[in-house]
Amino acid sequence: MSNTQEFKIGADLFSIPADRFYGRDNHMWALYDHVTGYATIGMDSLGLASLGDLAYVSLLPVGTKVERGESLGTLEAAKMTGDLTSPISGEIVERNDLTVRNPALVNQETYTNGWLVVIKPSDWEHESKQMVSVVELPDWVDAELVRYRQQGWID
Amino acid sequence: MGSVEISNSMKPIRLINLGAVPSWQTQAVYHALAKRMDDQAQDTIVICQPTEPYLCLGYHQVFDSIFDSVECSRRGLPVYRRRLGGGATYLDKNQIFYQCIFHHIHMPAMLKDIFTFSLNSPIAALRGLGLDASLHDINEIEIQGRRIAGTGGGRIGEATVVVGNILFDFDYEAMTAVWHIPWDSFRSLAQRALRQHIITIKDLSLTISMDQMTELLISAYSRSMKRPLEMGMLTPGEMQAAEEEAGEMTSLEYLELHKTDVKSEPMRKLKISARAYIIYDEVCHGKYDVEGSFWINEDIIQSAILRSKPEREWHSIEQKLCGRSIKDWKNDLEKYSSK
Repeated sequence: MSNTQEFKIGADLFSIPADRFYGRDNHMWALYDHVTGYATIGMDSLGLASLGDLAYVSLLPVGTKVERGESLGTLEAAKMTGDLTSPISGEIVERNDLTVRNPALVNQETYTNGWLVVIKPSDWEHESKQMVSVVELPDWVDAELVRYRQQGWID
Repeated sequence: MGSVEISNSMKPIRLINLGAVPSWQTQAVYHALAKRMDDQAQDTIVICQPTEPYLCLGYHQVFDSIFDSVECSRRGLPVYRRRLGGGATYLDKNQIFYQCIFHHIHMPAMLKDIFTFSLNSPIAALRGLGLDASLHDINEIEIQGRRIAGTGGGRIGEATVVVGNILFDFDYEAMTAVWHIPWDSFRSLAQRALRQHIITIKDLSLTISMDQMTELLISAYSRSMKRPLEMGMLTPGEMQAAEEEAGEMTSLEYLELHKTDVKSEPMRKLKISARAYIIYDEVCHGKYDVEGSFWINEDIIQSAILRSKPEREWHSIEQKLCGRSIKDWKNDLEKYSSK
């Protein structure tokens, strides 16, 4: 299994690392640390490709409890706002204020310094099974690209 | 998703022509429709105009950094925060609003295509008047290189919303008077820049009524959406939801969203158009503390106004800075002052 799944939108080539889980409907990634038991959360490049450059990111405060599917913050790109949907339930234990001050970091360093929050999961065992795993990743990326095309005009 | 998409895409789009309504309705109605959206709800387009002027703040903007609350109150201008993106704006009866509230699966997946899809109709309506309107920089409707409409959008619950307003006329004085700015030169430059980068139906010497423009918009939507359009009205439940929404949009808590413990500074950068900005900056130059307001176009200074403590004459240097990059203004100030 390759370490990354690559895909093309127009002339741009994107890659999705295979070391983490992905929200099936929300293009958020979760990287679980088995030592701390915490999960780092970010946005994936397929979701970012549909948005372009982020102009604003806002994140809920540390200590906030979120349920899977609830908003953990908001984003704005080209005058269009949207929710950053939490792919898991738990408590926000850290947030990356660098992305609030410089949202471009999410576009530029999507899987490293562009992370958004760290969550102490309340049910990682169960909820991670509902996310896209490394085994499902190629099919999921393909299906999402089909959806993008059906719903909208990938060049 | 497939079955929902197929069955729902057959449904006609509901078009609600609210006409001239109290200002709160022009913001609250589309928010209420968006929050009630589900895969059984009807996609809706709302056309309306506000009967009174008001101000509208973009979702991520910090109130105190954008507006001078004392001046807003003095002018009796209510402020609403929308759940959509874009910048703060002054809205009044000389603008016609179009608002698309669609289930997200009926909108394109790519952001730039959402705007193209949603703004094709107002562009077609303007072209119906013989105007060379086109879409620039993803979401700006321009005529002769100048904006004739504002745009904002967002995902609210299951709805994707795109709103905009065609300018029949624009009150530059009212817009710029309520900004929280570092000093008055910033305001005067902004007002001049807005006049250069915005165009209105009045500027184009067109005689067309709001009703005629509404008809053009409806006709354009029915042609370009490629789905049947049916005229509709708000239900009592939707109207009640809009009333509740209006209360939330003007609540102090919501208006103060994103406020931090740090005292809000006046705005230092104001976007006029995709290419033009007004910038405030300062530098210590020898014995002078120098402040500058700059009108820049693609990073090149179009106009500069400087002042300093202690005071001195800066006019010749202001002239020399024009045509130079904003990135170099501090170095240029040194260079030109030493000559």
